[in-house]
Amino acid sequence: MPTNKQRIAAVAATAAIVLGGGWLASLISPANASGTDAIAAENTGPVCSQTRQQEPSEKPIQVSQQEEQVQAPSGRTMQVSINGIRNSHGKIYIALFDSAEAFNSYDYDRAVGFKEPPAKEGSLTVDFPDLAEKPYAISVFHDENGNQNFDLSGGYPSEGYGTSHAKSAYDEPKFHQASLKPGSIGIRLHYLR
Amino acid sequence: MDFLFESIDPSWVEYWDAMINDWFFVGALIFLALEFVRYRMKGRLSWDIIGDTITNYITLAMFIGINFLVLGGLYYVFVYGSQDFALFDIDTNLATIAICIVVADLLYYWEHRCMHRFNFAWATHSVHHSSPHFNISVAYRFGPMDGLWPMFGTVIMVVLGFHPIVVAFAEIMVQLYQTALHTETIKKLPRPVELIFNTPSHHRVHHGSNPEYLDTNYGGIFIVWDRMFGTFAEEKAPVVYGLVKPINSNNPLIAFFHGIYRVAENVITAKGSRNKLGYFFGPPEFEPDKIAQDRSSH
Repeated sequence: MPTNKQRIAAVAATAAIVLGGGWLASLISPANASGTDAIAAENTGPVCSQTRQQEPSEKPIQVSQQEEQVQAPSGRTMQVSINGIRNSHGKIYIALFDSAEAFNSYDYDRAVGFKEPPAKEGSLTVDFPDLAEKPYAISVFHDENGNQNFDLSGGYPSEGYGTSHAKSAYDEPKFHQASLKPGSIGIRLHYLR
Repeated sequence: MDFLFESIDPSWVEYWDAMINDWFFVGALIFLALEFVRYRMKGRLSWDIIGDTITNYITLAMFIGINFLVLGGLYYVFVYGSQDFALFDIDTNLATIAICIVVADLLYYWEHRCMHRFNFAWATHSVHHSSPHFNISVAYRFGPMDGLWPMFGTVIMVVLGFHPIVVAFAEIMVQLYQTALHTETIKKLPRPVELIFNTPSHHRVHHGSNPEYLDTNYGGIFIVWDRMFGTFAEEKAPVVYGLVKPINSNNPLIAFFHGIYRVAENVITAKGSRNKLGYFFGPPEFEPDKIAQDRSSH
């Protein structure tokens, strides 16, 4: 029969192994292997005055320009084709992410690229120039009623939406599944109603 | 080594899961036939063993029925609900599946230990231990609520960030590994194996009602958890399988519900809330308070 000391030590060891296992497994993902975890860590860290200066300003588009200067003068372009747009009402919102954390939590304020072209029935294409050679994930929605919101009704999207590498309307890929290096990608919009 | 880190679509894992689980069941039936040949050759084949085996599979059918009707919905709600709270962004590849199996095994150790040490969980797990025999069919002998307790480990792993299908796969691997240990035909495996892994010898001890074997060897795949946490016992004396208080019945309904009946009866007839709580939350060896008992007998 184990003593209480043994029991406490056992529970502590278990917590450490379980959390360590999850952390170790998170290191073995292709997205993190190309350096996105460093950026995610920077974003989660406390914001002191020094880091705030280095941090990109609020407008997302400028972020990608700044990144180009700081870390990647390669200037690659991501060409995004949006397909299956059902009508020409409102705008299409397209957000480009380089951080797993921001993407997985749909934090549009931390998108590194953002476009809002007027909707066009069928398909349209946008370019995100001056990107680094690393994985990015894209999230799209069709703001049909022009209220600048992705409308939900009863928990389900009432406007069209799409994600890079999503396999179906109900597929919610995480960053490592959705991301790709700059190139071209087609994203299909799904309308549930 | 790159193949270890190549992303795998979870639907493939789901497919392997179903394939391995189903073919393992077929393999287990073939192995059971061989066990019966062995019983016959040793002159141990009896109607009791045949009845016990049939009861084992009837409890399996009832267990699956309850899982479908009651527990499936619970799992759906909790697992898919907890997916949004994932701590880590974890890819699905062979390396992360392997890590998930180790984590699943450690969480299984605790689930299993709790099932032996709390009366309300022992009520269902004691069904599995109520067979006085030890062959692969006993591995398929389940209690009514045996499907409920793994949920805590499942949710923990999903919250860590493993894909629910990978978690289910890892749990099935732990379960199938343990299933294969239910045999008397293998005496001892090479020492390094016995040191690290759970083996038929270690698991026979776990099924023993010998006093020195009670509440030991909870591990699934790895026996190192038991060695680390002070719950290990080595197989020395011959094992007497079954419960300390045997059920002495091959009636599948008695086997399936005896634990719940026992706990309910104890809780209802116990005098005083302290004893009632003890019979519900206490360990199986819980005895009612002497003073309260004296008072009730006067």
